[in-house]
Amino acid sequence: MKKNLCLTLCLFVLLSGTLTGVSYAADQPAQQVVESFLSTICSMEFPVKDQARHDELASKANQALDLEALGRKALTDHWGEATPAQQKEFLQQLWKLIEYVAYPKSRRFMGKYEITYPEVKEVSRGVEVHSVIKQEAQALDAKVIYHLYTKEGVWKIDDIILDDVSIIEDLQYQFDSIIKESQFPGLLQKMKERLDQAVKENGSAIR
Amino acid sequence: MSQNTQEKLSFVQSQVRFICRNALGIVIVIAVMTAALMPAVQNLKLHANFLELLPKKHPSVVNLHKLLSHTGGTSFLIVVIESPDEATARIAAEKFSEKAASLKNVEYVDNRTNVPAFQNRKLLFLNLQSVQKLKKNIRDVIGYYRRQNNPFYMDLVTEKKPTVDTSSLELEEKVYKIGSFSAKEKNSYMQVVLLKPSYTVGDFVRSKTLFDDARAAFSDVKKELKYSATMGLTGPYKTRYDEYYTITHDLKWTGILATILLVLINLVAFRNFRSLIYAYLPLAVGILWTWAFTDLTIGYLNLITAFLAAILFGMGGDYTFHILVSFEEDLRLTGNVEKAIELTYRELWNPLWSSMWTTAVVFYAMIVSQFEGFRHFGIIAGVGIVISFLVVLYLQPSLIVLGEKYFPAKRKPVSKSWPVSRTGIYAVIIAGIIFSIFSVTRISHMKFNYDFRDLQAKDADAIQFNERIGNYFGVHLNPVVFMTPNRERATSLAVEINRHIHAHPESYMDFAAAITSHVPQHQEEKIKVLGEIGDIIEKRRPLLDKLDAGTRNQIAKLEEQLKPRSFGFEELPQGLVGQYEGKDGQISGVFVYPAHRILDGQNAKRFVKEARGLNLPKDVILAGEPVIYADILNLMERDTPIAIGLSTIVVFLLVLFHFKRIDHVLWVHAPLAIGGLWMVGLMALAHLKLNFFNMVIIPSILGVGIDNGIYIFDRYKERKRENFFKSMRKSIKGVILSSATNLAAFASLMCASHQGMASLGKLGFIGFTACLISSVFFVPALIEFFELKYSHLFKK
Repeated sequence: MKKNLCLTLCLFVLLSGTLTGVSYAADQPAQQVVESFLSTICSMEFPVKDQARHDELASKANQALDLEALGRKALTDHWGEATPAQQKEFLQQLWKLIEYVAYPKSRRFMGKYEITYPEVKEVSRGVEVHSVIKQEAQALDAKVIYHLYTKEGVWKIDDIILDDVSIIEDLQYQFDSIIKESQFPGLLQKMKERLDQAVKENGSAIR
Repeated sequence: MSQNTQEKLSFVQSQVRFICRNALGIVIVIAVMTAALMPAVQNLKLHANFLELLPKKHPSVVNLHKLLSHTGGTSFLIVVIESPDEATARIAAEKFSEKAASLKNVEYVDNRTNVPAFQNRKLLFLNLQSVQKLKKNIRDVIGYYRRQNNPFYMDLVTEKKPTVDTSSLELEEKVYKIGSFSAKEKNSYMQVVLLKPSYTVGDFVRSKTLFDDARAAFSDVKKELKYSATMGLTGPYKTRYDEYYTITHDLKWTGILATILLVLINLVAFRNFRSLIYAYLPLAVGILWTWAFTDLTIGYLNLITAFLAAILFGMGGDYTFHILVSFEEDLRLTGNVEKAIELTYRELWNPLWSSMWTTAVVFYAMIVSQFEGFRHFGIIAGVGIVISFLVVLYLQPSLIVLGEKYFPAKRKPVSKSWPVSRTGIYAVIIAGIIFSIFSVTRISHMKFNYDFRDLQAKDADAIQFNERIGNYFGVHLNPVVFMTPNRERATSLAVEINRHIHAHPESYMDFAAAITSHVPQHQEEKIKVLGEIGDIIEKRRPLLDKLDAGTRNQIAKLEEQLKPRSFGFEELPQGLVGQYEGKDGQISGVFVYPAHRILDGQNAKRFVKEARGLNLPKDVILAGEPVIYADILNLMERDTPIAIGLSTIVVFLLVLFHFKRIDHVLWVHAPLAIGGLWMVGLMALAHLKLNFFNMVIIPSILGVGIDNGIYIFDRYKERKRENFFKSMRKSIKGVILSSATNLAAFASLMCASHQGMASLGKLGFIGFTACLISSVFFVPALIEFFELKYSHLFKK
């Protein structure tokens, strides 16, 4: 049943992608953007077997995220302290990490469970799409909130909140402790090491 | 012969005649007097309490008594219950407390680690920051597990699995550590129950009964326990009892050992049993009279004067052996008892009196000290020496007269003097100089051991328990108390002192607590934060339910403490309030705990000095046992140089009065000076330090060292036609025998289980050995060397 659900979502995403292009226009309901984002992730395959297809899906999923805003917020003051070159490298690494760490984990996690969307709430700067990941086997429901706002007429997810703690806070905690220990280059090095490991685990063997 | 000398000789003659004519009468009179004094001797008790070592009117003593009169004392019998299982330790303490409350000599029981009012309120005793820290910790624990489940989480750092960590949380007041809030050690859970006895610390008979009853009660409790548990006793009631028991036990056994050694020495020296009676009966009578004097004047023996019997026995031996050796020799020469006694007394009268006065003066010099340990020692030993001397002077010849009349000994030929070669003399001098140089190098290394722990019985488990409790609770349980007129003053004073401690990280004070310190501050804020922690846990319940058993258990225990009611002064246990304010409520105490181990006297001194230096108003009074320890040490440090300096000057003048020539006086002092120097060298070799107990023996060494010089030099001076070693034949035998008596007494003390007593024995043995070798070998060799070189240097 779960497989069927995922397949349906994937088909929906592919069709909607064909009809509307790869960006998530502001006239589209925010919940739909989230659903499309998640179904794109669920369509991915790890380890990557078809690199071209993976690139295509990753690019589409990435369209839903404002990773620059997310990364800047997570870095807090460290963003301003970094050189433009370091900032650029940081964002590149972050994109790749999302692609090879967050997406595979999300796919593994959400691919197994049913997701419902009980509420879409307007907040001061955009909307919050509330979702519940039903984990019946463990009698545990995970509540995930996606924060979206419109940027240049397109919906963008700039934070994901699980159990009241945002992904920005989690990243902030990690970035801060690494930078304190080994400065900004250390963070970049750590991100690179983690990415290398993730690519080994989830990347294409041909690549 | 001068008229003065003639008068003296006729006086000696008349005394000898009186003794010989009335020997039986003298013995009977002394026997009757001894019998009459026996009740006083039997009444003499040992007060094994440091409090007795300071004058009764000393401010520290007066203040401590004042504190005791209000609060009934800060002293408890502390019962320590331990088990590898936490619940077993707690149940054992509860059951024991119930049983102990009905024990005969117990006024009340205070189960300090299980105060009902504190149950479920433990987190209120943390400071507000720690309560907030705890909230963060719980968030972190939950956050960790949540992150593991977050599909978007990118694990860049390897996180350690966090635990519910209460170890880094800080109590609002350090005094809470003593109550129910101690840090737990792995595999060792300690519960402390305080028993307040209905009698004073010095009642050792009732203490013994209470200890036995407590042990029996715990044996009953143990039968009902699931896991093993042990019980230990400590606190002033136990440590004082142990000290008393150890000292009395040691005195008994070292006394027996000393007696055996003395009998052996006597038998070897005189080869007959009658000399045992001649030598030791007068000494025993002298000591009994001294004890009677002590009971009738001072009333008790203290921790220092308890060892005086051995010392007096040894020092009184000086007189008996010099008389006995000389008499034996003179009896061989004259063949007549009366003539032999006369000859002996004519020869020894002056040196005996001089020796007695120099020794007595050394002890009397100690009377200037305010330290009762020294002062009593000076009075008892000074008077004891005079009593022993007079008893020996009249009883010993009387016994000899009666003994030789009814059981005449076989006459022996006159003994020959020892031939001494020049090589021997040079060898002794060279060896002595080498050891003197070594000893000089050791002077700067001499140390005073301030640690009272090294002066207890070898297996003093009560002291070990006391230290373990301190380590377990993280508090040294030897506070001083500032008595203030009321609770408000006490509260503000505790705050003021804690502020001082905070501003001085090197402070010897750890923290201060008034009774109000036991009521936590900011309770409403803490209850709010604790409620928020409860909400966090409740919200994450499904996640937490999936965690491992250990973490779940930790959180479950924490939850028990998350809904406390606020806690008021009126809920404090009465026993606890009583400790601060007594039953009458006329004072309110501020307990100031030391930052370091108080059994180390240096710490005690610095701690008390800092407390006194707080410059508090006059109506705030400082009291407590650390104050007593510190004052004892301060007095000792102040008075010891004064006593030694004073006795040295007086002894010098007495010797000058006896010999009339400054060079002779210096030679008489030589055995003592060199013996003292060698004592330092021998102490270094034996790794022996001066301490609170053994320091008291130094004046005795001073007295005996001078005595040896007087006997030897006096005899040498009088024998104009004999060389030094020949003239010293009798003196040396007397000196060796009297020193051997002292050495036997000290050797027996060295076997004591009480380490303070054993160290006194060691120092006495080392000091007397050094003085003996110096006076019998080194100084005579030195004099003989100068005599050979400069012919009749001293006999012109």
